[in-house]
Amino acid sequence: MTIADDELMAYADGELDAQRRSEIELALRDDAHLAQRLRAHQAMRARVRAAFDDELTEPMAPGVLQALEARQHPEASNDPSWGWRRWGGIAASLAIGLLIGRTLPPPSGAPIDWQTNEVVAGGALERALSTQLASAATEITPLRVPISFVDRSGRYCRAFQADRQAGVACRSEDRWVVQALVVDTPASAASGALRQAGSALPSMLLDEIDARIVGVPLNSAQETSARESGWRR
Amino acid sequence: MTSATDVLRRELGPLLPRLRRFARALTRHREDADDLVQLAVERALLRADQWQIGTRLDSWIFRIMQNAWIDEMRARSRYQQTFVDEALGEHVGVSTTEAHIDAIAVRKAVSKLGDEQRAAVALVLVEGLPYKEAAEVLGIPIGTLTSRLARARESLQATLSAASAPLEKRT
Repeated sequence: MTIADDELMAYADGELDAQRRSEIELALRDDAHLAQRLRAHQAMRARVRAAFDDELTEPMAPGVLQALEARQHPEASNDPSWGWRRWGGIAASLAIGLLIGRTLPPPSGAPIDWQTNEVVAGGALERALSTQLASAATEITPLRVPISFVDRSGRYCRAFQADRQAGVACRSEDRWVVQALVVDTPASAASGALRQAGSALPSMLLDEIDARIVGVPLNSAQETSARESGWRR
Repeated sequence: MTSATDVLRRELGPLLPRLRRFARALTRHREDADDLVQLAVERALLRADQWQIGTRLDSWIFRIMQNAWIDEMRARSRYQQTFVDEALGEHVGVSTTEAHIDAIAVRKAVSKLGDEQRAAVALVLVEGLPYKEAAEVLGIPIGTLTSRLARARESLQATLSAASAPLEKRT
């Protein structure tokens, strides 16, 4: 009787029915090579399982435990990571480049201050992030801050937008660290895509926010109290 | 009143370490894995009514995780941002026991498998799911699952038998 390797594997994984199992066991008795192949499958199964076993005893991340305990608000019936898009407006589809964190090239000057390991908002951007409220935006300012939210590591983060660039910055101690920046490339600048998009944030940036946000964006009361606390939590 | 969400919350707690183990195998990155587990827990609780009592909860959450991770990978590849971390092959704390050395080698070998084979290995060999459940988690026919599994095993066998030679000399 020939037994294909796939079947031997299924035997090792406990997937065969009783009849096929006993047929194979019969064959194993007088086929040392077959028995050896089976042992290899069994050993691999045990070895892989054992290799991952000690991960079970590590403590869980706080965010995971919080997610398990969190009571859902009645109004938050949508998937939390997507529901917030209501606030962001319709995403524009743009030809843009997304630069993340430390991969940013040194800029020529303000409003972003290039430091060794992080990109810190300075000047007008820093002021807008610290003082402007998304919920209170009544006029078109050169720098808009349309969304404020709490990220997965528990920091306040804010999306910002100017004519030619948009990004996300998160509060880290006493500074705003730029986490993502979308820059209007010459190609998209020529078409005026970012400008035409008006108040909508670029889709790449919406994806970035999606990846970071916990729950939904801050409402005006939460935003106001966050500002009063100096954006510390 | 005990809602479906409360039942789910209670059942999910003990599963968390296994969810994280699967997430680490999928993402090969500790922070990504924590994020993925958190997202899966949030989504599962929101969709508590979709889980049918009597079906395996672990399979259901694994499927949520698998789908969320595929979405995430698509999103990342849109802006060429992929993180592949060697952390899966590392271990917190220094240990030189043979079992630990072997565990590191095995995890490293698993992390080098392609995404599809790695998911199959994580579900069947690590989590011990039956083929049928694993195939449903991945949304593929059983035949596809077994062929991925067979190829993954061959590759692990090749990697690990090549790697074990210098390792044996060391001990």
